Amino acid sequence: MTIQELVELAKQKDPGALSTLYNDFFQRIFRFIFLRVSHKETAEDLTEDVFIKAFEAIAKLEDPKLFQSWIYQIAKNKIIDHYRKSKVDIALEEVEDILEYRDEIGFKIDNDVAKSKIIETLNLLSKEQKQVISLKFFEDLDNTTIAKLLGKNEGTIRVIQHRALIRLKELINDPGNI
Amino acid sequence: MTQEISEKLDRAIEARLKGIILESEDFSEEADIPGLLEVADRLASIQFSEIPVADKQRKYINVNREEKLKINLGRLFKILIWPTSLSVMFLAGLNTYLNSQNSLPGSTFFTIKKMSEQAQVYTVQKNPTRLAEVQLGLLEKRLSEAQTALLQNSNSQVKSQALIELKNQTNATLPLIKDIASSGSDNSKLMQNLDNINRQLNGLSSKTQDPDEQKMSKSIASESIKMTREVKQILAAGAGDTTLSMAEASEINFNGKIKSISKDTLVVEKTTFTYNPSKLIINSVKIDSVENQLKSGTRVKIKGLKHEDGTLEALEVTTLQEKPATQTPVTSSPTEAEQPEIPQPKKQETIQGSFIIEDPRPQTKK
Repeated sequence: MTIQELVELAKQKDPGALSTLYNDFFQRIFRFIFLRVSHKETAEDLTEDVFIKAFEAIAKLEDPKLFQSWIYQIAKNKIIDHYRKSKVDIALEEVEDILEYRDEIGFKIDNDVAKSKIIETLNLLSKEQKQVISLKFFEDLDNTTIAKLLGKNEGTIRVIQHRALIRLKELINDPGNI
Repeated sequence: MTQEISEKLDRAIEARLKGIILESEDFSEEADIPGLLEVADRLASIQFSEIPVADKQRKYINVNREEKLKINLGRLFKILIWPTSLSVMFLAGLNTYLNSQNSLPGSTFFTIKKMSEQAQVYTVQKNPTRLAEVQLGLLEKRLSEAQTALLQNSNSQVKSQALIELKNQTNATLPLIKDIASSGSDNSKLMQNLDNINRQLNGLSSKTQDPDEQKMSKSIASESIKMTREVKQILAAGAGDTTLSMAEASEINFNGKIKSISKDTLVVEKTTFTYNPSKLIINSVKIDSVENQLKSGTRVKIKGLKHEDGTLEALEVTTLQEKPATQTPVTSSPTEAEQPEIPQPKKQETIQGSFIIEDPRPQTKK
């Protein structure tokens, strides 16, 4: 059963469809949130909230194809709400940069020097390019979702991605730039 | 860079992310798409090692508002149960304590008040002065309660209980103050409070019309005053001088002619006064030789003390001008002086040949 079909059933409050969507997306949404709040329990709670809100409002979702970008948008809003409520942790002006990973998470990867080098070069990209690459390759989001999250159209996302890859290739081939 | 190349690159990336290599695509003529796909492959192969897996997913199959509410209420309950319970207990205790502070004997709250007082007494058990102060404070409370009970015309059981409590507290407090006096500790504050309490005790009987209650009130006041007197005697004895007289004896003034003088007695009219030659003051001056200063036939005013054993002591002698012949000399009346009426008027007057005695005891309210 495709996601669209599941969403159609979920709109009818079908428990089985809701359960499947929940199971399919929970860890992805959790990961998306965790990378931005750096706290497991908080991320779990926020993930629950995302699904509660999504399932309450799923009947209003007109295009089932947009379910993924729609639920990620809810997750993004939840994270922003979270930071707004805990002003002490992060300045409000930083909230809009929420799609950046929290510094303390960093890009800790397995002991692979070559991969670490790529991660280092990511920091030399523009903020927009870094966001697109991270969402696409590390969080497995599709262009529709990324476009929705960044408030751009899919064509722009593709161009940003293209430019980011060119810049990364240059940086990898020219260590002097790092 | 055209949109078309970006789209072509993206299609290839999407396919590779799904594990598909687009063999049919020919990128040879495009701007280094294979090289960019290689970078994309390297990016896609990166795995984060520090991203945990959410544990909670296993707990919730169907997420809905009710479930979340239940979970949150459960959490809230766990978090708040102890602070809430403690707060409720504290507030209930505080409320009970505050209520008990205004309670009268016979009520449940009064028992609580007594318990808290006992705890207070226990904490100062090892410090006699502090213990006496605390007990005296409690005596003031009992007195206040008795006054309230009598004034509010509470039922007879409450009034009776209040008087019993007052009596018990009096019995518990005064011996302590007596002990303090015996030990020679600083007791001026205690004595001041005790005098104040005695004054109020004296007036307690006037707050009720019931003969039994009046009788009991008077009995308590009498007992307290009696013990206070004993305490003062102890204090005076400790001081070792005329403070005994000051504390306990009555002050007297006496006018008359000196009939005779010896080294330690002075007979004025028919009344004999003792005196201490080293302390007697004559005409506001302390004189070494009394006999040289005072002569028989001199009219004098004597300030002195009448001790409990009836002896009279002269403290200060002032010589007076001889009275005109028209004035009838007034003879002294020791008998009268020795049986003063109590209470006496507070204003002290000097009457020729007779005593005015000031009684230090509290005046009974009429």
